[in-house]
Amino acid sequence: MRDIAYLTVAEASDHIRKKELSPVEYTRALLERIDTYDGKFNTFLRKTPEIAVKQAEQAEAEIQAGNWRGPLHGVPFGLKDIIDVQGIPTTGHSNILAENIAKTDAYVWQKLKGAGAVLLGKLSTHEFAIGGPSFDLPWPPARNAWNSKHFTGGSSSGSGSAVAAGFVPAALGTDTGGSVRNPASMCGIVGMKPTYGRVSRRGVLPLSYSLDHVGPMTRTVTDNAILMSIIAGYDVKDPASARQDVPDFTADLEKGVNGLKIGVIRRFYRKDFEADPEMTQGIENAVKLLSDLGAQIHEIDPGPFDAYASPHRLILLSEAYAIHEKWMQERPGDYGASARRRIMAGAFFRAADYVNALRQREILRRRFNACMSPVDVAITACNMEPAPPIEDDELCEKLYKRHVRPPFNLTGNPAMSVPTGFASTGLPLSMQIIGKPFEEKTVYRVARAYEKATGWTSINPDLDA
Amino acid sequence: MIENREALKQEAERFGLTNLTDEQLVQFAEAKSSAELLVGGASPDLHMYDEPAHTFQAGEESE
Repeated sequence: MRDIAYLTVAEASDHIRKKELSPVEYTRALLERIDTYDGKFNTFLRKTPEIAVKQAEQAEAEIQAGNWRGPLHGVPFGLKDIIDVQGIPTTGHSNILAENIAKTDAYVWQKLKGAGAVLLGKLSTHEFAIGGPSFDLPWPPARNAWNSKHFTGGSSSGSGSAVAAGFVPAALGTDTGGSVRNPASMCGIVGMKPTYGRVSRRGVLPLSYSLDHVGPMTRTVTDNAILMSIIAGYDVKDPASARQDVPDFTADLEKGVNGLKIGVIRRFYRKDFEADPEMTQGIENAVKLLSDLGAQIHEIDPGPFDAYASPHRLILLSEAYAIHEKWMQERPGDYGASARRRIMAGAFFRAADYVNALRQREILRRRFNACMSPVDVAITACNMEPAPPIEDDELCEKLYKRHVRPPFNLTGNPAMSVPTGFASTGLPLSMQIIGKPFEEKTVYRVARAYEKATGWTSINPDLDA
Repeated sequence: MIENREALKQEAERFGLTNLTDEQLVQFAEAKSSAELLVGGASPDLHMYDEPAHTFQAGEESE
């Protein structure tokens, strides 16, 4: 068995099922690793060793008795700290909710718990999934496992870095404007924002009701598909939940890309923005490789990025302000400066501005899907550059002005960040693969073909460096 | 000392933001600028039949 910290979910699950790996020993090994290294990376806001050991012992007993529940049984896990776990605080990394004990489990945690997953703790986030990286909050910001002087991306910052660091093989994040894909991109892991409505958001602190998504963050594509198969599904108590059948997202993983049509949205990283040359090269190399593997490549143009960015931001901030208005009036000093400034902008929009943004959204959704109709998936950039130094406010702010993730929150299409290698600085590079609504399976299929041909996702950081 | 402090303070109070410090008032002004830019950038060219995404749908679920 290779290094226990970097076992994939699929590998760990196989060892556990065959009784070659004890869930209790696995859990204790990862908790010890977190104790040893997390002081440098701040990925956990709260560890839950008592819950973890108890769940691991239960899993071990069940498996010993021949009752293996499936691929997450006995596998350790982390949750972004905006996802409710009954009886422990959901803080949103904010003073505002420092004492907020969750009354029930989030739907996604119910699903994971039912699958036998082992909760190691709650992970850092940008405050309320919007403001960061921030140094004026009760807890420090997470740092990048590839270089602790660098930003993780956000807002699922702790999830991205903890998975990359081998603290957990998988975590959940949330994505309203790219918050699963950004840390996945910066930390060199795989992060999927599913189709809007595919995964229930019940029990997750909202940022923007009509843009929020929950998604899995893992080191490999296969692991991501395994998680998606568990957390996806209709939830009658989530008004946005989609009545869609849940396929086995792992079923087509090894089918390859021969005959698939792949669109490339070059305008986002060559015209609307100019990406760092190494980032661009990584994407172009990926397109060439997929072509060599038998995919047909077409350039597609869904229109300018700005057309999507403005209504996305306007909807996000309007909905966020509606959620935060009372706290902003009564406890403005309990927010960090970054979240306060961003959320306050929502006060200035008129009802007509919001409704018109929603009207534009529908037009853009139709336009984007028309653009996607001749292809199976599309590829574009995720970030324009690798992770900047975390203490460089200007570069971190610039990052959020130069990313092309929000269009797919606006349209609701599934979109995934996949590693494409490393910059000369040693920091991860990435691309984004976008699918048609409820066609996550095809996104996984393309990502897996690329992963298999390159092996980027099997390279891990040296935490002692 | 911030420019237009009283005007900003009055504007913030209209939103119920009566407890802002001077530093927070500066952030309030920054938030206003960024909101104005966003609305300006949206410039919708919409026909009256263009309906919003997420139109209400009647459902049968109950509590």
